[in-house]
Amino acid sequence: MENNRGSKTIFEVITPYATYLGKRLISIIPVLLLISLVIFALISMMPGDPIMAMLDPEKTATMTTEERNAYVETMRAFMGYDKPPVQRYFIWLRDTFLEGEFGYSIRFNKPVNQIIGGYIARSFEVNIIGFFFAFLISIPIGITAAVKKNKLYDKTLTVLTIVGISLPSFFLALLLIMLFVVILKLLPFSGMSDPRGVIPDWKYLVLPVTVVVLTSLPSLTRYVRAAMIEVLKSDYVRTARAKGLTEKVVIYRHAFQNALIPVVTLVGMWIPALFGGSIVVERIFAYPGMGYLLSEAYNYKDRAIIQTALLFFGMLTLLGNVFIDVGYMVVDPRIREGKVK
Amino acid sequence: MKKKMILLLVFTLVASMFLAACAPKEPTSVDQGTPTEEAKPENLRPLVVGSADFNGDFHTGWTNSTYDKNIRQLVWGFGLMTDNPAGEVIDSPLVEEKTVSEDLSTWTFKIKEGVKFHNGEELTVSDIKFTYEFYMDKEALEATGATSNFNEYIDTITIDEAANTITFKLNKVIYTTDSSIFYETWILAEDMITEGATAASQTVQEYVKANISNPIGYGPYVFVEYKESEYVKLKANPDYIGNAPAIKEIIVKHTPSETELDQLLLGEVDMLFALGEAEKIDPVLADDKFASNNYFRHGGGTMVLHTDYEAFQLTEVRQAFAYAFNRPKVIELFLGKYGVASQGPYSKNHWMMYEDNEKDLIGTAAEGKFEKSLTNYDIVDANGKFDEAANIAKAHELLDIAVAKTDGEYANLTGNADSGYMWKGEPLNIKIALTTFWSDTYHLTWNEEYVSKLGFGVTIVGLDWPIMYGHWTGNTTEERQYHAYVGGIGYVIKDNPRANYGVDKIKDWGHPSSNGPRFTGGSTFTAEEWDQLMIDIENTHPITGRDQYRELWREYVKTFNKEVPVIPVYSNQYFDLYTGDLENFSTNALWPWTRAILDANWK
Amino acid sequence: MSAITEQSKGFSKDDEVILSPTQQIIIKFKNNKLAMFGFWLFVSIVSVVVVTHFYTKFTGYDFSATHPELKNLPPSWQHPFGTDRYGRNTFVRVLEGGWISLQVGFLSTIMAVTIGVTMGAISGYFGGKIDALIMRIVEVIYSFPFLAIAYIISAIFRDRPAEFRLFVIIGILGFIRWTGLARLVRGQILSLKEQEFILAAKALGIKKRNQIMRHLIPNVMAMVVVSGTLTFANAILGEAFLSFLGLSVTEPIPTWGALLAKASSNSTSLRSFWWIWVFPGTMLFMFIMSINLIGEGLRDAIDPKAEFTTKEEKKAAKERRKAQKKAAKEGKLVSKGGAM
Repeated sequence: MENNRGSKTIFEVITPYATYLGKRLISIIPVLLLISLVIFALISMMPGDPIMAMLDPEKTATMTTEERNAYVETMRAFMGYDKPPVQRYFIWLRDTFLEGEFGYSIRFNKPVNQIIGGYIARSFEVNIIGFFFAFLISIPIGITAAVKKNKLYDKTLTVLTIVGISLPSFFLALLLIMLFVVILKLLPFSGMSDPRGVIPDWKYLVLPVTVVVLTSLPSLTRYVRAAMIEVLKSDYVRTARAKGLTEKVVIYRHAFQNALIPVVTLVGMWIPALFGGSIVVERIFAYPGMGYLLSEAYNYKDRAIIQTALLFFGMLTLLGNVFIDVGYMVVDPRIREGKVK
Repeated sequence: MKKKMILLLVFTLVASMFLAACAPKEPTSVDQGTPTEEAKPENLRPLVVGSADFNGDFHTGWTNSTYDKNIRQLVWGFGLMTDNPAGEVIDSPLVEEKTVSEDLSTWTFKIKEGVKFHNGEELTVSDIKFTYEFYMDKEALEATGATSNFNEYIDTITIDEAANTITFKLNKVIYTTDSSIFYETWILAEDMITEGATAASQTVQEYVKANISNPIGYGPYVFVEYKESEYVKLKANPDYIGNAPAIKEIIVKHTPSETELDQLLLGEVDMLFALGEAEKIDPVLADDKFASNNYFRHGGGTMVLHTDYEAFQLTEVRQAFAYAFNRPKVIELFLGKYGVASQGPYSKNHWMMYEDNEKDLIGTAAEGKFEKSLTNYDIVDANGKFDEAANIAKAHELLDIAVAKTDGEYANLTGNADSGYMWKGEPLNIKIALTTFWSDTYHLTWNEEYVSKLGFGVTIVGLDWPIMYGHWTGNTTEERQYHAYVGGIGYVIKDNPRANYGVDKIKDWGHPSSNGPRFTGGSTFTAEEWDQLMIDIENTHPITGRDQYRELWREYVKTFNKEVPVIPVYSNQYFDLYTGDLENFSTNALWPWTRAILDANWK
Repeated sequence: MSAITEQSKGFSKDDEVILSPTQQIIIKFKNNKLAMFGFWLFVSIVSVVVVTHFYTKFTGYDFSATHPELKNLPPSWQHPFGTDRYGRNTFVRVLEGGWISLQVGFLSTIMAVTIGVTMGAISGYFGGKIDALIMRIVEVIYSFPFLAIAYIISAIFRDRPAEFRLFVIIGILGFIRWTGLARLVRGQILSLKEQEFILAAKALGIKKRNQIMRHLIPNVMAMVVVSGTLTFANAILGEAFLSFLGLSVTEPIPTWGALLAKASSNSTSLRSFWWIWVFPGTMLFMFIMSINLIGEGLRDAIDPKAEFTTKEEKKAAKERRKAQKKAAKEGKLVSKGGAM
C-alpha cells in the first residue's frame, strides 16, 4: 500500500486511520457511561439484600445466630452496601475505570479482578479455536455454494444450514454428549483437565469447541455464500471472465478476495462472543469460562461479578462496532476516501 | 491489499490462539516432599470424589461452603475436640489430657508432643493460643470479612510451654460450649503465618485470607493443588498422628449434577456422596460393580410457618394445614422414594428421641417409643397411603373448632368447608414462599384440583433465596405476605433450641428476627412457658448433663409437635455411592466420607 | 368496443400479464418446494398445538395429576410419547408445550417489529439529532447480552405469578430484538428518501406522517417480513433458553424448553428414557426450522434480481441452462477432437 503511494511516509498513511479510530473510540465513551448506568440501575432493582445472598442454604449451616448477625453487618460494611445507591454508582465507576477494581465477589470471596481474568481466558480459548475452525470450514463451502448457485450442492447446503440454525445449542450439546461420551465413550464429560493425568487436556476441549463450530458454522456459511454471490454478479468479475481468465483464477483471485471484506468484518461482530462464551453450553460442560462464571453469579446474586461481566460485554460489543467501521474503512476504498477526505 | 486482508485474518486468528495459550492458568500448589513410606502399587490409585463446586475457602472463618468444609476436614481432621461415628463430642488425638474445673469455667488441655504440621513445623500450645487469638482479634478479623464469636465465650488463654498445657478461662458456659469452641477449630501454624505476614507487611488475618486456598494443617491429608472450579488434589500425610490412611491420594473433583451419575458409572469419578434422588440412586444400585452406604440424613426438608401472621396465629389453622399437607407426595415427587416423614425435629439421628434400650433404632426409619407418642399429621389408609379424604376431613374439623371460638384473633376466622373459610372477610388463602429448587414438587403437590377441595386457598410463590430470606426473617421493607416458607435444615452436632426459639430472638416485623441462621428453625413461635425451658436446656451441663438434656429437649419437642411452628416434611435417606473396588468404607449420617475414608482401602 | 373488452378479459398463457409485486412474491413462494414444505409444517404444528390447547382447556385436562406407578414408561399406544418421571403423559405435554412458544413468538415478534419499524423509519426519515439519539439507544440496547438482561429482569419480577412473568419475558424478547430491524429499516429509508417518488411527495406537501406511513414503510415491508421470521425463530429459541435456565413458567405448565431442561437435568435419565427429550426436542427443532424455511423462501421471493417468477419461467430457465451446458460440453469435445 505504501509503495503504491510512493510519496507518502508510513506515518502519513496511518494518521487518517488513527484519527478516525481515535474519534470512534471517544464516541463510545458516552454510550459506555449510559450502559453502565442502565446496568447499575437494573442490578440495584434486583430485589433482596445482597448480603443475605451470601447466606446460601448449604453455606451457613453451622453458624449460630450471633455469628450470622455479626457476619451480615460486617460484610455489609466490608462491601460498601451501607452507602446509598447514587454514591455506590460513582464509587463503582471510579473503581472500575480509574483503579481497575471491579468490586468484591460474594461467590468467590475475593475481589473480582483476581478471578475474572482466568475465566475470560478460558472462554477465549474455546471460542477462538471454534471460530478458527468455523472460518476454515465455512469459507470453502460457502464459496463453492455461491459458485454452484441453485445446483444440488447449493440446495443441500441451504437445507443443512437451515437445519443448523434451527438446532438450539443446548440440545446440540446434549446430543453430542450422548453420542461421543455415553455411547462411543471417546471423550470425557465435562471439566477441562483430568486431575489423574490419564486423559489428555485437549480431549476436554473437543466437545465445547465442536458446539461452537457447529453453532457458528451455518450462519457463517450463509454469510460467505451471500457475499460471494454479490461479488460474482459484479462488473469486474464479468470483466475478468471476459479477459478469458480461468474460472479458478476468477473465483479465488478476484471474487473471493473481495467477498472476504464483509466476512472479515464479521470478526467484529464475534468479538463479544469470543470472550463471553455461552452460559448454556459452558454450564452443560462445566467448563469454567465467562458464561459459567456469569451463571454462577446469577445463582448467588453476586452483583459485583454480574456488573463487571455486563459492562465487559457492553464494551466488547462497542469495540466490535468500532472494529467493523475501521475495518470497512481500511478495506473499502469508497468508504475510506469518503471518510478521510 | 487483498493479500494483506488474508494475512490480517490469519494473523488475528493466530495471535488470538497464542494469547489463549499464554492465558494465565493459576493452580495454587504447595511443594511437599514425597512420602517416605513405600506404598503398595494398588494403593497408589487416587480416589476421585465427585462434588459440587467449592469456593476455595480452605480456612475457616470466612464463608462456610459445605464442600469447602470437606477439604478442611481432610487437611486438619480435628481441633482440640472431635467426634466419633456415634456423634459424641470427644477429646481429639491432639489432647493427652483434659481437665475441667468444677464450675466449668477453666478448661485445661495437655497437648501431645511430636505432632507436626504439613510444612514440618511442630504443633505446640503456642500455635493453639495463636489460633484462638487470631479469631478473637475482632477488628483485624472483620477487616478481612470474617467473623467469630469466641470473644463471647473466652475470657483469657494462658499457656505453659514447659508442661505443654493450654488453659482457657471461659466467661460463659452452656451445653454447647465444647462443640462451639473446641470442636473443629482448626489450629493454624503460627510461625509460618507470622513470618509470611511480616514479609508481606500484612496482619496475620490478611495473610491467611490471601492464602485462603492454601491450607497447612496436621490432618490425614496434605493439600497439594487447587484448580479453581475444577478440582482439589490431596495426598496422604506420612507423619499423620493417627493410623496412616490406606488411600494415598484423594482428588475432589467438581462434577456438574447433570452428568455426575454417568461420570460415576463410566469411572470418571469413584464416589458420589449424599445423593437423595431415586433417579440417580437406582441405576447404581442395579449395577454390581458399585457399592453403597445409606443413612438417614441429620437434617431434612421443612416448612416453616409464621406463627405471628394472619390466620397462622391460630394453632388449629396450623394444625389443619399440617393435616392437609400431603407429605408423602412431596417425598414421592421430590425424592422418588428415599425419605420418610418424621414427627420429631426432622432427623432420625437425634439420640434424644430414643430410650437407652432403643439404641438400635437410631438412624433407621423406625419410630421410637417417644416419637410414636407424638401426633402424626398424615392420616394413612389401610395400605399405608395418605388418606386424602380423612386428612381433609380432619383439617375441616380443626378449622370448624377455630371458627367456633370467638376470642381475640379467632374472631377473624369465619365460614365453613362448603362455602369456604374466610379470614377478615376475605377467602382464607395461605401463601407459601419457596425457591426454584422446590418449585416443581410443591406446585404439583398443592395443585389446583387438590386445593379446590380444601375450603381454603393455597398460593405458591417462587422467590430468589435472598428475597425469601428477607421475608422469612422479617428483615424487609416490603409488605408482609407469606404464611409459610419451604426450606431444609442441617443439624450441628449439639443442638441448642434457644438459639431459635428464645423469646428475645423474635422481633417485630421489619426488624430481622435473629432466631436461627437460615433453616435451623426460623419460625416466629414463642410461648412464655417455653422461655424457662429453653434456658434450662441451654444450661445443661455440657459433659454430664446428658439425661437431663434429653428430658428437657423432649418437652420442647412435644410443644413443637402440638403447636406446629415448623412442619418436618421429610428426612432424606442419603446414599453414598462408590466403586466396588473400595472396601471398609462405612459412612453414616454423623460420619461423613471425609472421616470414613481414613479406614477405607482399595481391594 | 365490446369485442375489445371481451378480448382483454380472455387472458391466455400467451398474454403478457403484469403481476403486482405481492402476486409475484406469492407465486415465487408457492413454486419454492422447500418453502412450501416449511409453510405446511408450520401450519400443521400450529394447528395441532392450538387444537390441543383448547381441547385440554375445555375438557379440564389435569396437567398436575401424577401417577407414580406409571413413571418413565416407554412409548406405547396409551402413551404415544411415553411418560415422564411423575408418570404423566408426555404426548399431551409436548403438544401443549408449544402453546407458550407460540404466544412468546407471535407477541414478541409483533412488538419487536412495531418498535423496530417505527424507530427505524423515524430515524431514517428525520435524520440529524433524532437519528443520532435513536442510533445511540440502539447501540446501548444492542450492547447487552440478551440472556444476561433477561436473567436480571426476570429476577426483578420473581415473586409475580408465572403468567405475569411470561409476559415480562415476551416484553424483554420484543424489546431487545428490535434493534437489528431498526437499523435495517433506517438504512432502507435513507436510500428511498432520495428517490423521486418521495421527493415528489414532499413537493406536493403531503404530511410527514403520511409520507412515512403511506409511502416509505410499504416499500420496506417485504424486508421487514423476512427479518420478522428470523425474530420469530429467535424469540422461540430465546424462550427455550430461558425455560432451560428455569426462568420461564412453572409446573404444571409445560413448554418445550422446560421439558428439555427437565430431561437433561440428569444424563442417566437422558440416556435411559430417550422419549422424554426426543419428542420435545424434535418439535422445537421442527418448528424453528419451519419458520426459517419460510423466511428463506420469502427472502428468495422478494429478491427482484431473481431470474424467474412463474413455474413456466423456471422450467424455461432450466432448459436454457441445460442447453448451455450441452453446448459447452460439445464445444469442449469438438475442441478436444480438433486437437487430436
